Amino acid sequence: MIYLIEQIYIALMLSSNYILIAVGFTLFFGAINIVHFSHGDVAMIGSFIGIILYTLADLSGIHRYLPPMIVNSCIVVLTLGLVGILGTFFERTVIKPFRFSPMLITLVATVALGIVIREFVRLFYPQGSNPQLFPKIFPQTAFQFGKLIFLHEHLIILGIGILLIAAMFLFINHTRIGLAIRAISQDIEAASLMGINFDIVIAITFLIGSILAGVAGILTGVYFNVVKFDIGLMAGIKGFSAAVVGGLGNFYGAILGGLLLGFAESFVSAFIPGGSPYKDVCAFTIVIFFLIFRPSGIVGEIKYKKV
Amino acid sequence: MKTHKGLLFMGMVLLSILTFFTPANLIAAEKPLVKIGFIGPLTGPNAAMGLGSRNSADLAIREANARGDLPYRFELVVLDDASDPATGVATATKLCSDTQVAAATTHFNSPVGLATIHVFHRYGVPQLFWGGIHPDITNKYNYPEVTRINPNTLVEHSRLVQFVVQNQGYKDWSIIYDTTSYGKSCLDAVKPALAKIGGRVLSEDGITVGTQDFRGILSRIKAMKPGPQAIYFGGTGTEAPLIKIQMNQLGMRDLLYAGVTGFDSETFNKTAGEEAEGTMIVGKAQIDENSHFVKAYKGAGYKEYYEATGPYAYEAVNMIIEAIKKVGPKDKALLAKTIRGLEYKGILGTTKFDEFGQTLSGGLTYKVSQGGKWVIWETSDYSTGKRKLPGK
Repeated sequence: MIYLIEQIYIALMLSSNYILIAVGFTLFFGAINIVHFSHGDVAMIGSFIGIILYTLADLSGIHRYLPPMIVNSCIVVLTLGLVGILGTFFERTVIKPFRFSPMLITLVATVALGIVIREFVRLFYPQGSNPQLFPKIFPQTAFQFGKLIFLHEHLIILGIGILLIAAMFLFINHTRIGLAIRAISQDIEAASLMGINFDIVIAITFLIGSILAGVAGILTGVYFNVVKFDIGLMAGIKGFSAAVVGGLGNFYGAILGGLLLGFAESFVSAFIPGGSPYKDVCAFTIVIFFLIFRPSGIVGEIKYKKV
Repeated sequence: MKTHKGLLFMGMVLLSILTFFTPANLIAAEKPLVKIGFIGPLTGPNAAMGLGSRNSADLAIREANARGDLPYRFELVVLDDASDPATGVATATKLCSDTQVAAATTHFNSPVGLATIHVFHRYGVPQLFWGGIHPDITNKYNYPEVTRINPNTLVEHSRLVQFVVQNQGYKDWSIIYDTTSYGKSCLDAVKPALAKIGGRVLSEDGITVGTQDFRGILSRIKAMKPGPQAIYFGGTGTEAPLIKIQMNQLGMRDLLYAGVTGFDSETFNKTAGEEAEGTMIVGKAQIDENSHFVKAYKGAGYKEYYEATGPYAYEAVNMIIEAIKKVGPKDKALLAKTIRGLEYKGILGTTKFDEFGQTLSGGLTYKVSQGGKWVIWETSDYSTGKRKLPGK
């Protein structure tokens, strides 16, 4: 029983990482029908910005004047802000010029952007090819529940993720800008005619999506303690798959897809002896099955094009 | 006018050549040239290892030439295999077709070595490996030309289990390995080694390189009844420290974490930080900072660090030169036989080869992670009893 609870905890941590990235994919696809393939790398940048800011704070000696909790909270907020701005910058420079081009062009452009980001970090970050130790920005305490150990840092970052996703949900459903995003996703032309500033709304969409990716980046760092320049590639593919399995463009779908993928992966390596090399195989087989038998995803509706 | 200028230039070149060959230089030039090949990854992911080893091989050549006690002048021919088997075969062919090349020391990566042994065998050029751990390099074909100064996975693992099972009494193991050819060769070596001395394998799990989450596997191991006393990882790089960190987070601090030379680098301790404490490995030769090799290497002003593999390349070139001293460079079959028969005392201790041309010692050293560094077992707090290994 305890073993099962432990596995569920592990699967939840993994799923939340996928969900945070999947929500971004879904958001971008829902709003302007694009697949932003370097979204995983934006999350990776989040981890690295976190490390850099922590190092800078450490060097400046600010820890001596302020309690670490305040400093580290500032680091998290600043990291998320910077990742958000960077994500929006990528949208302006790489995605916007192709707004009225075929979808394939954006796809190629974002894949290329991903390679540029990865190689940039690898080449310019000191010893960028090596795994980098992520700083301990949250309290290193834990509480024990029988034989189970829960680290507070895991719960904190999980909490931040859940809070932000909930906030985003409220934002999209209950504010004017959220309404504008939904309007654009339904009909761009009509929304523009209603006086919605297309550019600003899309920028805000990317800001939100990238901030969530930033949380995923910090979560990866905190959870695995180590980050590497190429973690964004797999994170991006998994996040995208989660979004597709759930139903691309659907908010609940992203959450369900992330959970499905995370649970499938951890349970395969936990409950099947010798199953661990096949956990990715298993996860992606699920993706293929969905693409074949339910291409619209778990909660997506099949859209028929009118001729 | 043009021809005059040309003549004048030629004259000056001739003159400068003549002045360069002062009598002392002439004597040196009279010695016949013997080339010794070096092949390793000078570019690509393992470039650091390749460059450090190249410098070390170069140092051995320089020293031999400076001693001048042999009737030959040595030159190191350096070629890059880029850790790629196809490139390796091309460079090996290039090297072997040069008749002045007496012998060569080669390769960091086993797949490259497995491809080039056939080339060296065909040309009959003695090939002494300074790197590469796959047993098949020496054992599968047993070519008379091929020898290896670097311990292979079989040697490493028999030494590891000797210490961990026999000396320290960790009998029950869980094995994790990466699914690359390196990880698999570790798995193939550790299981028979354990079985031979009465150790038990309770579980084995393969992981793909790039995996970050080992909690699934680890928590299953944790829940096993009876559970293991040690977790062994056959792999390298990023995964090795991650497994240890996640073991600790899951409350598995009472299990020994063990490995072989695959994670004998400071990256392991740097990445895992204090979490690495108490990890036990069979590591590469630990060269004394005050030894002749280290001093000479620093004195020679090489840009790159000699890395874990440098001493092996240095020793390999010295052994080739030692064999040439005995039988000369001309008869390569005899030279190969002589290399195999050597019993050489150098910086790795005494090196000699078994019937497959594989060394059984290779300077292997037991190391334990203490205070964020690899410390030689005998000098560590663990051997004095000041600190205790996990589960003790």
